[in-house]
Amino acid sequence: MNGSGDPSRATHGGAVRLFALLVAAGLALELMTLILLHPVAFLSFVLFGVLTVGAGIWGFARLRRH
Amino acid sequence: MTALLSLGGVAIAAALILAANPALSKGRAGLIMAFMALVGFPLLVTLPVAGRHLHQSKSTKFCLSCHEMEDYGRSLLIDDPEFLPAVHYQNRLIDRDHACYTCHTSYTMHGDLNAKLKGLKHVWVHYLGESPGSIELYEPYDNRECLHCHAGARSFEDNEDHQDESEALASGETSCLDCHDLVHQVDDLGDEDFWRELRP
Repeated sequence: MNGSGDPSRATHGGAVRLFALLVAAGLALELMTLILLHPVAFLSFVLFGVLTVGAGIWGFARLRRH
Repeated sequence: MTALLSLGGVAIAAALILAANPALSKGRAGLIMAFMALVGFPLLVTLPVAGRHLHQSKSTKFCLSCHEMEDYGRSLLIDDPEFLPAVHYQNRLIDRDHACYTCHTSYTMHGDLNAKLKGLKHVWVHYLGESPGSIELYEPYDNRECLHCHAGARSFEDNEDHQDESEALASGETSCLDCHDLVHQVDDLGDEDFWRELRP
C-alpha cells in the first residue's frame, strides 16, 4: 500500500478494515435499538442484527482464505 | 441492560481496534482475536439483544404503541363484564402487562415464533406499507387459547352449558365465541362507558 508491500495483502487489509468497521457500526446501531425498545427499533434491530453478524462472518471467512 | 451495553462497548472497541490495525489478525493469536472481533462478540451481543427485543414485544405497551391498536386497547376498559377482553383485563385474569400476547398467541410449540413473525410483518406494514381499514384475525379464534386456562377450572367445569358442549368445545365444533360474542367491538366504542382511561 505504501509502495513497500504486497498489493494483494494491502487490499486484504482494506477488506478486513471495511468489515470490522461495518461490524462496529452495526453493533452501535443494535445498541441504539436496545435503548429505544420501540416497534421501529424492533424492525431495525432485525435488519442491523442480520447485517452485523453477516458482515462479521463474511469478513472472517475472507480473512481465513488469505 | 447495563451489562449488555458494556459488552456492546467492548465488542465495538474490539472491532475498531481491528479496523485501525488489520495486521493484528496475522498469526494464530491474531486469527483468534479477529474471530472474536468479527464473529464472537457480535453474536454475544446480538443474541441477548434479540432476547430483549422479543421480551419487550410481548408487552401490552408495545402492541398499543401503534395507533391501529389504540381502540383495541381502549376496549379493555369497557365498563361491562359481558365484554370478554375487558373482564379478563380488569379483573387481572390475565397479566395486564402481556394482555394482547396472552390471548393472541397460540399455545403451540411454534406459537411464539409465529406470533413474532406476524408481528414483524405488522411493524413493517405500519411503517412502510398501508394498514388495512379493519383488522381481522388470520384465522378463526381457536378454543385452545381459552381452554389453556379455563379447562379444568371449577367455574368452567361446573357450568351446565359447558358440560353439555364439552366435546364440541374441545373439538372446536362449537366456538367459545358463539356464546361469548362480545369481544373488542371497536366500531361501537363510542356507545360504551369506560372503567377508567387507558394508561399503558
